[in-house]
Amino acid sequence: MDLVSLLATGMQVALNPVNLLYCLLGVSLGTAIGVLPGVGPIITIALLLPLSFGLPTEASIILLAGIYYGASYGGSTTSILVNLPGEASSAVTCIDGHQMAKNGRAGVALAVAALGSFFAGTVGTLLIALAGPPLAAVAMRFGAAEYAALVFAALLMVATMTRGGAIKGIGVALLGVIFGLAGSDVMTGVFRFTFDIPELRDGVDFAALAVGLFAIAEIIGNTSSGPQGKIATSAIGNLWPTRDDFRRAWPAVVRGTGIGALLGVLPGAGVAMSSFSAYMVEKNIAEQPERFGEGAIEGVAAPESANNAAAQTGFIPTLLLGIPGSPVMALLLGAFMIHGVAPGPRMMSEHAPLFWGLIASMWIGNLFLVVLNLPLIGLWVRLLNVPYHWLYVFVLAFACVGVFTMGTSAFQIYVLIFFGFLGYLLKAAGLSPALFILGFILGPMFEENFRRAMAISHGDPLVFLQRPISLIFVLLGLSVLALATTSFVRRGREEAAEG
Amino acid sequence: MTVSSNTLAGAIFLFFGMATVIVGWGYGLGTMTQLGSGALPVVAGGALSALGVVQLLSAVRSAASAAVPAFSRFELRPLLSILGAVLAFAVLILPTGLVPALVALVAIGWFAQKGGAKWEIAGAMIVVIVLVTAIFKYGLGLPLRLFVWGF
Repeated sequence: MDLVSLLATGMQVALNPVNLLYCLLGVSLGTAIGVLPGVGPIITIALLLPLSFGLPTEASIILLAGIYYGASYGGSTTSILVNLPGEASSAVTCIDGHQMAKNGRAGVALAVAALGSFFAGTVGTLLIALAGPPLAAVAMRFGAAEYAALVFAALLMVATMTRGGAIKGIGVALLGVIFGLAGSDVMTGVFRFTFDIPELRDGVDFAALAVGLFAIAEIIGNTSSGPQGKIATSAIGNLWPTRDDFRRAWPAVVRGTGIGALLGVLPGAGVAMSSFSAYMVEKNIAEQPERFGEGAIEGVAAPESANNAAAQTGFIPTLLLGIPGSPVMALLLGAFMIHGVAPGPRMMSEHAPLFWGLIASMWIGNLFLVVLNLPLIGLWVRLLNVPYHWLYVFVLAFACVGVFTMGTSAFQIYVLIFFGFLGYLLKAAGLSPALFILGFILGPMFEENFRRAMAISHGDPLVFLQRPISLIFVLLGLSVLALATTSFVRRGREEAAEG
Repeated sequence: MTVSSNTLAGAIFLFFGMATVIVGWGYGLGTMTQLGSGALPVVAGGALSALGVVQLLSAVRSAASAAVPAFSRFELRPLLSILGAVLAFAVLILPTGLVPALVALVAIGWFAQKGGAKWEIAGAMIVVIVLVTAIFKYGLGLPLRLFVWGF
């Protein structure tokens, strides 16, 4: 089948009224929660994960993808109106976006962000559709050794690129790997780390883990920081950009989209780095760089387009190889697995309607953001005025009931408590719970493929170096590690010299 | 004494790393051709322990004045209140049903923060129960019993 007919199949699935409704619901809920200050896409997805449990597979995945876009978009709204980014990628938008809001042009900033995101989303969706079939064909030829090496490289790339240093990053990812190994061993059937608890035989429940690490730990953290006052939001004002705004914004949108689409595919680079890079590029090529920081529209258009394009192309390794390149993708992958869908090269042939339906719904979800959410933005922003002590008890109840409905016993709620506490400790220790999730998802993939590769090669570890694709990934992983440790050593020396 | 955030990170790594090595060893390491169930846990646990040691050493070595404390003083109350609220929900949900479990959850969780007037807690209970029931029981059609004795 050619691309057009595949996309048509997808459109048929996505335009099914029920799926359309869930796409709209996901985008709206994602925006509503993502608008809350300090709440990024990861927390939003973890929190809303239980909503998808009772739904059919297609609807649930469309809902989750919608939540993801909605939350990313909601984050940029808060950055512009309140100057509080929910995630690293929105931090750049704050610089000029909030300045525009102060100048009474919040509406224009929001509109440009939405339109730029829509353009970037359209391009990103097309790229996934184009890259899909050839990449899946390559991935089909991957053996166990290639997969193990790829997971190894991806894990190291993401873990070493976080703030707080390579040791903390790799350590917390390893901690996630260890928790991921609990449950029955796929190769031998031995129960590992189950401590004779029958509920642990299938491994640690992903939903309870994610909700605990993010939602529960987040509530503990927020209530600890004392009562919050009301948040002052800027007025939204006129939404429609002027002709001059358009003239300045559209080249920035195109450049941002290109940068984001490219960086989004790389594990570890992801969304945050793409918006930052796009901003720097705009500032460097601008005729009057001094306008940046004073409310330059390019400073909103470029990073917002870049992070949306990256968010979109980030689906490429996740959907086609089954390997998430970022923590958000790891979370989505975990959610897919709960619904019995294992993303990977075979997804396109075995779940063709689902795959293309998801691609089509991504585009529709982006359209909903522009057409429906933009006019409703005032409504979402009003959520900011709900006192936090009302909000958190509701979120807490929502999380408990959601996790409880996964099983019939109360066991998963005890798991929720454990990971709520662990998440609190991780936060106190400056460790990233998002990397923990990534390790949790990638660890078992690595183990299975590594052991299989070793068995096929009769115990010869050189197999990872003899196969060219595997060799490339191993070298990539090792060089990232070397780079991170040498910069760690250098920093250590600098600290010693200063001290 | 205050625990710095870097020390805590090292302690977490060392604790889970050692525990994984000790428990994982029992699952058998296997051979190179047929790796046992314990092989990867032991390697991962060992690596994590090593990172924990390095992290602890660098935390000790770095100047104490520059250390970021892991916990500020007033944080025990929200921690206990939130986790206690979830625990109460876990204990009550099966024997009593959704409504009593949510009442307990809101009642305990409310005290994580000193906010709002006395009447608000009742209001919060009603809002939470109505919304949660509407979304999960009627919206998603999940089999939740409001009260174990009836409904």
